[in-house]
Amino acid sequence: VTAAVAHLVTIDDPAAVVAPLDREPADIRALVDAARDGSRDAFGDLVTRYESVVLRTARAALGAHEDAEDVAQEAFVVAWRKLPGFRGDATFRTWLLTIVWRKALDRRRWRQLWQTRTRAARGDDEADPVDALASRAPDPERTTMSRDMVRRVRSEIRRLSPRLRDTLLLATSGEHAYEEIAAILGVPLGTVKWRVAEARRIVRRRLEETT
Amino acid sequence: VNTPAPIDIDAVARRMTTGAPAASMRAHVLERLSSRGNRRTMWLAAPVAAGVALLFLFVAVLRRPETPARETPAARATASAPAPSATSGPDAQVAQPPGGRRASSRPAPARALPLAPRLPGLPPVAPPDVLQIDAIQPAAVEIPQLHIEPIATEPLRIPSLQGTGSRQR
Repeated sequence: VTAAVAHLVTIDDPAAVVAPLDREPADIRALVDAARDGSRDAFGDLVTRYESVVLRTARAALGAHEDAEDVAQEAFVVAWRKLPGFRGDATFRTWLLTIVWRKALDRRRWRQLWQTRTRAARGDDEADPVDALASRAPDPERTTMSRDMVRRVRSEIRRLSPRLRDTLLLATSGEHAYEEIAAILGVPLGTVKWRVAEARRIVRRRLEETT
Repeated sequence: VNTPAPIDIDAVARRMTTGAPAASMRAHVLERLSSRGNRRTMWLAAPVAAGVALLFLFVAVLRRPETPARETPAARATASAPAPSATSGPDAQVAQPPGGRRASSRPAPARALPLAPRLPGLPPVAPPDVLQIDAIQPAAVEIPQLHIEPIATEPLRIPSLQGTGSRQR
């Protein structure tokens, strides 16, 4: 039922997909113009400027796997190639993150396919394809949660459907506004808000059930 | 009591995407941009090289020397015999094949004639008799003497260009 409702909300209003975006900062616009004219130094400055958010966006889809780093670099290369076609309908940042997200999803699909075939060939048990999600970071012991609770919450987040999990991870990364997430995912703003709330609700409910 | 608050869930989720990018991200990207140009050149050059190779192969197959036909013992004997002189007539000695059939005094053809395809319902075509072919004596071709009349040429006259400047303008 949850997936069906999410699907209905996703396809309801195409006009709402394009959310109003903030105007491009002047320094970024200058760098983009210079890079469009062929300046690699200017594009390098853009890479430095956005590498953090690009990597974090890739990790929302791919986890801490080294694929995220590779996809981030690949997205920058694609952005450089497509830069002459950048019309400025959205900010450069949103345009770039859309490229990153598509690349990350392509990589995730390829990885899942590869893992499925590998498991089938070896006869392994089915494993969660997002097990590679970041877990090397230190546990948030600064919070009031115990280590066991952190582990359980992380496990429940991994169990979420890809749509809910992706949206939750993007929203909680602290890098994106909801409008930007809507533009990256290509869904209405209301869908983003609903997915985040639904993801939290499901995680809480499952934790309550297992307690 | 053991259920985390939404803010705690967000904190865990946030940790799942943390991680600083490699210090060499910019260098790696710029390096990829350079190598991408080289790769594009390679992808453009590869089909051209393949086309040239195919062309050479095609020409080589076309110009390959044709496979000589399997020589009969009679033809081999004819080829090893000294060439008949221009004065030798039809009475010249020619080796006889074991079957008693007279072999042609001509050298063996370099290539066997391809057999006509057999169509269903049609009788097979018998090969022409060598004796009949040898009996053919075409008349000599007469070529009349070619006369070339000299062409009368006159010196080329170029009219003066003076007075045409206003027209050109």
